[in-house]
Amino acid sequence: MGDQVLQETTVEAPAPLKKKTRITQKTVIDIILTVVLSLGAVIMLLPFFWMVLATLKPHTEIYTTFFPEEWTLQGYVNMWDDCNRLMEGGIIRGFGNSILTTVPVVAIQIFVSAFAAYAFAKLRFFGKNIVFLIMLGTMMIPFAVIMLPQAWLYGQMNLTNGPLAVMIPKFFGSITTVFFLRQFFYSIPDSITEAARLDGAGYTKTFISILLPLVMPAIATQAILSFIGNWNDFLGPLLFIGDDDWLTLPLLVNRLSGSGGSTREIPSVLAASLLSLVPIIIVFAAFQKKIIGSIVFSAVKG
Amino acid sequence: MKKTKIVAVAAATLMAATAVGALAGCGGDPAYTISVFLLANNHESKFYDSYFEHLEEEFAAEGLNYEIKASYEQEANYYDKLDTMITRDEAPDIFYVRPNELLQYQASIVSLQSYLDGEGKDIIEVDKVNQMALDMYRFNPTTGVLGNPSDEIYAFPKDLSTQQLGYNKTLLSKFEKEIKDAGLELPWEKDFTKGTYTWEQYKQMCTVIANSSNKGQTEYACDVPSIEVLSHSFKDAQNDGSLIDLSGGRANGKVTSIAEGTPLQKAIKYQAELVDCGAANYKGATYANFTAGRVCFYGLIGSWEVADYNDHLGAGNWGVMPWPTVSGGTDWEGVITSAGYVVSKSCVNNAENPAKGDIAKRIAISFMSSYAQNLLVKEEQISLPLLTDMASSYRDPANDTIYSPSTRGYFLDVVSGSHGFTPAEYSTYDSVWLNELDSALELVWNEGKGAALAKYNSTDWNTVQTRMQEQYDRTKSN
Amino acid sequence: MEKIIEQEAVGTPPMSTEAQPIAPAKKPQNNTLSHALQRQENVIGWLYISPMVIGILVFTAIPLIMSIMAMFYNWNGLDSLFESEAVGFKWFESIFGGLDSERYWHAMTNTLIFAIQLPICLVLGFFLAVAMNRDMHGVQAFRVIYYLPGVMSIVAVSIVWQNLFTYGGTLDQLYYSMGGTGDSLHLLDSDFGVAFTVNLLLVWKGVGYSTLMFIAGLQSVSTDQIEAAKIDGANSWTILMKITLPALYPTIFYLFVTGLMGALQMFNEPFILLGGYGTGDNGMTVVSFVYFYKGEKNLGLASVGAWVLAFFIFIITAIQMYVDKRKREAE
Repeated sequence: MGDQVLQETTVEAPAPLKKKTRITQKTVIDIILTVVLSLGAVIMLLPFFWMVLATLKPHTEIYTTFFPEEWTLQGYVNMWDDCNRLMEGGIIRGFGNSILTTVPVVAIQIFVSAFAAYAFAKLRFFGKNIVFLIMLGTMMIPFAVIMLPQAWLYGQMNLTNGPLAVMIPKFFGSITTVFFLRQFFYSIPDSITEAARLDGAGYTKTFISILLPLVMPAIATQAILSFIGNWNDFLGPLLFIGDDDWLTLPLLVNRLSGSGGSTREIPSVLAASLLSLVPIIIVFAAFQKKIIGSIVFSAVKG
Repeated sequence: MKKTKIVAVAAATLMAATAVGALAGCGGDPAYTISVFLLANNHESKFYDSYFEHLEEEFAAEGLNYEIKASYEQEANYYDKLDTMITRDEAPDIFYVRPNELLQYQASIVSLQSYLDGEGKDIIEVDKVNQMALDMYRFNPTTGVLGNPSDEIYAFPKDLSTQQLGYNKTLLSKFEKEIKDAGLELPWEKDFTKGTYTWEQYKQMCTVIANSSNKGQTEYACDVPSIEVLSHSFKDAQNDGSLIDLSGGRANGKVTSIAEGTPLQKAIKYQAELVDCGAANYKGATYANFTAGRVCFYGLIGSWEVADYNDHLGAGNWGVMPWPTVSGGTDWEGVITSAGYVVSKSCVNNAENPAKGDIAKRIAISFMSSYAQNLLVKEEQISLPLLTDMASSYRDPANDTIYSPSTRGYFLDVVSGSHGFTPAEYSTYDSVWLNELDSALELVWNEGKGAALAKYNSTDWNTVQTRMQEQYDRTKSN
Repeated sequence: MEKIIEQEAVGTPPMSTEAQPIAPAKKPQNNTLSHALQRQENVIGWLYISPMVIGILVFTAIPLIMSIMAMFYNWNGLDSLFESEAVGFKWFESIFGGLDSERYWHAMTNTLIFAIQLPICLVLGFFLAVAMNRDMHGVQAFRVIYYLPGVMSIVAVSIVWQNLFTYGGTLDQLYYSMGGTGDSLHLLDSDFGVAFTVNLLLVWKGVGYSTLMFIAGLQSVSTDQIEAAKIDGANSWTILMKITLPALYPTIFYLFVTGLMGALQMFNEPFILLGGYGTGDNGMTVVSFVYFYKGEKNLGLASVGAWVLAFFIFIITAIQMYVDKRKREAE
């Protein structure tokens, strides 16, 4: 964005020589940055790369070599077999369960949270700040202490057959999402809301037609994060899903791993983890464009 | 944009629901179910699955329409999940505990004594069962005392196991010359019926190995021997080396003294010396390294890992030996560990499920039957035999092709009572008090070669003991 | 339409009846709306937040209350809380100068030490985001790559990192092959080593998240001001520091507040790196302490430990929110 402006400016610059220098300067910086980012990327990726290779090794080689001396798919075969043994339907069912407990949750959660964030940011109503503080407060209690009381509560509410205990509470919104979106709503000038109000739009219409598109980058970001968070959620499903038919992928991966120290299950565990990553990467790639694309801010203001 | 998102969400949900629904659709007519929740690694869960299938067939043959729904978790998550299930009143019908957990879970379990005396007699042969295993699970709810043979039994044992001293034959052979030069015998050439190694000899042997090790190969002589084994080994007339004295009942439990000259103090000092001279490499001598063949002497976690060791090391390349003693006599001792099955309080015969309680108890007790024991010991090789007739066949060298290792007799020596003791934490409500000691010990070992002894000398063990006592006192009334 | 304007005109500054101003109104309209409008806004406001409020009341309030009560009982988590023995302030005394105080405050110190990664993540994330926001080849790939460590499963991460740093692990092997003479690098043996490695792990895992947030934030930074600055001859660095950075304040604030809350409640990473609580409990954080005592069936102590932490977090967050409010009012 800013770089485009740069080029525009140089057109107005007095000497064409300057234009050449400026372009080169941008390219030079680009190259340096790409190199630096690539080095960093190697660090970020190295453990992941090791993980991929480890799924293709026999289990005796796990800690002794980096590249497999013997390439094998035994890890994947074991994963398939073990998953089928652990749960009806094996890893496919695990995928299904994960999708079921993630997709609807994320969609509804974002929907609900966006409304709440809008209200906290743009509307004035009685008790607003106190409620927000209380909501924030609930984030400050470590899960460990409410774990057992929550288990008791879910038991009383009969939610623990199947995955409902993990899904239903999340339908009511997520505080992190609200907090984050609230920040974005704040950064929209009040003049826009006013303009809409003057045009006769009600609260809901203002929200949906005008403000929501403006915070699309934020919503897309939260959608990704919420998806990833729920997809990888381990402790909640572990404790609150009572039925072994409803294991999500993280639970399956956990069940696959053997007793501490033995390397036998490591290839299959890592294989399952790898497969679990695939949807995340897909979602990430798909939503990424939404984060950048959409509406340039200044256009609305004029 | 929102519309397409909603459509996409609906489609995904529909897909997932269909997939799930299709899978859930299969199943026969509803049988009575018994829910079982156990701590098991992959080996053990395979055993359980096949055993439960067998039981279901047995039930079917008798005209009982029962289905066993079993679920397993590993150590790290088992208790979290179990506690959650109990808190929300959905305790599994049968679950898995260790002896001291009878204290913690006492409100959720029932006495199995009447079943043992009654119908249980038809399922198993009670006289053939190792009495020590049964006694471990005897419990008095009023006084909170565990292990008294005259109390009622609250769990049926799954197994007895020991943390025995293992060695790597292949690795030790590499150091044969050095060991013999130091005037010591190799474990597989030593006649333990005449006497064990002394602790000094053991230290010597490990030092020799550690000094000869090629640094790049990172061979580790030994792990730090268990503090309880050492403490019992250094016992004297006044103090038998137990870490806690419960002779006055739980309300008067006394943590053993660490004063100068007591068995525990000598034990701690020995550990420090072992680390100090480099004989014990507490960081390097891990389970992973032992199975990878890099550790000479290792306190085996339990006899259920035999199959694993065979896999990794090869059946003839490792063995088991008696723990060393102070004077080289034959009074060596090892720790006995155990786990058992309890039936939850909510699992009772009721109108809906008329034999629920009985069937659950039957399942729990059946692990002591010959069939189950055969499966566990012979086929899966993850357990020591609980039945006395099986024990003699297990020990018989003629059966070396079936059971391993060839030195397995020492496992049995421990659990048959003459060479074993139960750990202190099996009789106390929690092990936080023991943690105090473990933390202090770790700080000493962490100093490593050349510095551990100094750390030992500078630690105030009296404070450690006071804190241990305070932590124990806190749980006296639990 | 006329009516609405009239009503607004009664209590509002003249600005709103004029044509749209080019620059945003400096003063927010925090003077009063008319009663009817205010009532309407009250209703709508509460309507919009009602799902969240209901969710909290139903699913969180009762467990919270139970955990508060648990602080005064000797509850093992299994039996009914109300049938347990009431012990008053016993656990409080234990944590503040009693039997468990050493362990608890040591855990608190560890927690703070492991929170060093937060500012590092923020700073690093900011620069990475700026770099990845440029019109270059492969930025999209970089975004995924940098975020990947944050989404790998815990099991996989623990296997990899334990193997890396453990005694005789990959880094040690490297050390041997380069001629190292000791028996190990002893990376996890010293307190400093543990602090360093845990923070390293956390930065590796966490920087992607900050970067992503900043990228989202950058999308909303107005280009008008940047244009104006460029025309005035400002160089890229100045623009970055004087315009972009302040414009990202909402994102920074959000990251810092939630990041601090998260960092103070962390317990998993040290555990998976050390395979336990570390020598002398140097890997035990406050929440590890809570889980530890929960596992030992002492929920009273665990609850006190958790609520003391929550109290600190609350104070810190309240201060942050107050600062934020003042800042927004000043604008």
